[in-house]
Amino acid sequence: MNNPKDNINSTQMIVFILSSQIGVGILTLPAKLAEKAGHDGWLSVIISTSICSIIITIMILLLKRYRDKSIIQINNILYGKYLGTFFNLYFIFYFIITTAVIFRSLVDIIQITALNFTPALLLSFVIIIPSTYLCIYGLQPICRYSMLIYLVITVTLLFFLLVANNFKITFLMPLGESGLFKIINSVKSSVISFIGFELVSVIYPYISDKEKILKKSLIANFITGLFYTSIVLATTALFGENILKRLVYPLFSLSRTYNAPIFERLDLFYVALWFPAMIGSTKMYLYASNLAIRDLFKLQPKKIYIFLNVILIILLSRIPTNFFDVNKYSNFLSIMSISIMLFIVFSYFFSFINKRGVNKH
Amino acid sequence: MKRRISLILTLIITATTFTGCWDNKYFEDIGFILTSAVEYKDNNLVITFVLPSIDSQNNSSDEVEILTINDSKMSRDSREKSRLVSQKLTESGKIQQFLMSEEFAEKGIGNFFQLFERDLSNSTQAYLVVVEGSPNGLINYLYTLPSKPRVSFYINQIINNNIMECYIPETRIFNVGICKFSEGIDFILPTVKQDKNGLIVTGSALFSNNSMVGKIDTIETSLLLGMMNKLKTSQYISSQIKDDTYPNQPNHGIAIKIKKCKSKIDIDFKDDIPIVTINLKIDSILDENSSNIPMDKNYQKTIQDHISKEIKNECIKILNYTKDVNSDPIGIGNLIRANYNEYWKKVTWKETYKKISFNVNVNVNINNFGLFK
Repeated sequence: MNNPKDNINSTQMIVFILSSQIGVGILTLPAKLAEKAGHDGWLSVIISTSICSIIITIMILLLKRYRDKSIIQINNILYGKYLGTFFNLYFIFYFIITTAVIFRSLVDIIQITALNFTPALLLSFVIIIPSTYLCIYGLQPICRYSMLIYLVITVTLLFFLLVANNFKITFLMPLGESGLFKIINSVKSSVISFIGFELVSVIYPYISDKEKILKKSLIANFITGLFYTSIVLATTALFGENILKRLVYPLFSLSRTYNAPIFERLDLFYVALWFPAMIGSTKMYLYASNLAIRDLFKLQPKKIYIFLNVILIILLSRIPTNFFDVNKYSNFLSIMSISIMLFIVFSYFFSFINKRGVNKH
Repeated sequence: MKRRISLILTLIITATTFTGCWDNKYFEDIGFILTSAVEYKDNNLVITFVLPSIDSQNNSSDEVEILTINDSKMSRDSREKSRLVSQKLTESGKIQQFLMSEEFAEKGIGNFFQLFERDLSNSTQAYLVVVEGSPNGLINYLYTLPSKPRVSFYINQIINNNIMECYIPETRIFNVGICKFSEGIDFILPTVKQDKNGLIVTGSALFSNNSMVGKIDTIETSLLLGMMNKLKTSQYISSQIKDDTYPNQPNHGIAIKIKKCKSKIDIDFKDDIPIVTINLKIDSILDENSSNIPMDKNYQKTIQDHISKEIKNECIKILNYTKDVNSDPIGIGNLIRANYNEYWKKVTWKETYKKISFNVNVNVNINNFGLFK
């Protein structure tokens, strides 16, 4: 029997998508884009927003063809028991790896910015407790908690206004200097920062007003795109591409340039505000992996496998030994996420060939 | 009930075992460095820290601790050495200003401030200031002046006030970091020196390739900030227009309060060399006029033209000086990089900057002249 706390509406789904997308990736995105596309990185973000909107549309159309079914169930119908199970295992593997990589990045950020000497393993256990707790309770409490993302977005945009007098428009010029090839090449990096929307394919059966899902998903992706574009524009206009390449977390460096009356160093509060936002995307992937495991293996009771999943994620997150190692795993993750997106697109078109289980209305 | 007990137990265990065991810092144990100074002595770095000493022996609330660290290799090394002598755990999280000697600035600041950009616990908002003379000597001198507030607050207030008046630039650590990596733009830092009254602001130090290459005074700094579009409000005192009404009077000049200054930079090319035209539009209030001629429309225009011409000549002088020392604080290079990228790519900017010609058009408007015509 389904937990009623797992049911959400399409407006809560916007929060779900925002919280899944906006997390750790955006903190390093401006620097990555500066490396690949110079000061034209923001153009790459706009292209990525469009690409992700197309993929979201195809994904929702695929889900609509199978009423009330998640991608895990669709795979079994579309590809049969064995191939479907194989693809489902790949999905679960992807969710777990993504959770582990995001979680590792999160722990690293907390260690770099706040808790330098706290042992990482202990920090990992402490940080994941609230996420585990929420995952046990269901999707609805997760989405309610994730409303915090709106505060993060608002405060970030407010910060841009506060430091705007230091922006140099010349740092964004000349437009398109890096060339079309480099901009297109950088799209791979920016698309990865948009991952999170694919989780809708797992929670689809739990969204109540399904007729609004496409519209609301596109709205969520548009908000993320707008937010990312403003971040890349602001950090480039403030720092210029040359120093931007050297910054690890440009958004945090940006917050350090504002001197607030009385508080002086508002950056410390700002960095702390990002922690729950970053935990948000970990939580979403953790929940999705739990849900996918439950759908595939029909496991009960859920507390046991959630707990085992959490232990696995913590252990996996400790495999990379340093910053560059984490980047290596992130690159691996980016290949996986692109493959997942392509798989969803392929599945949509394949569903026209194999029409088994397709909703005729 | 069983659930509640387990929840309470979890909270107690978490609160007592996990909270801040490794990264806790007791406020009472930390010595917040408010002013830092760096200079060379016999080719070795000497770094001075000023931190409040709230529990000094004489129980005075005005006490500060001044630590002089010799033979430092780098910024972090100096802090570690300071911890060997200070009763407090010195930290730079609240640093207000970083003073450097002219010699240090001339040799080049290199990556000395990289630590501040790297470590979140350090502030990147501290002002960078060049001291004419020894910063250590200045700090120790200010410490001996009983009529002045605490050293760090005194220096900070003077810098803040003069930034507001646009006599010196507002340059913080992060600004220098940005300029250091940016092409076609150099940073400028405020200059101060020891004075019989305590501390005097003397103007700005011009930098090129991260090394100090020249100096300008406070009035020139105001005008330079005007050309950089960073002049908010300031005062300008021009020479007097010839008037023999009171030949022996003590004051000679016209003072205007600049309330708005807009700069527009146009770039043209002649024989492949940029011709830079800076158009300055200044709105002002007449503050003082030593002449006895009553104000009318014609006289107002005469004053406006006179001041405009004088500011124009001053600006040309400043710009030619920046060419002489090869410092580009306005960021002409950055503008050319952004707007004429093809040209930018084919020239070496530092070589080209010496050859560019400047035109300055100044339009001073006196909006009102107070309660007296």
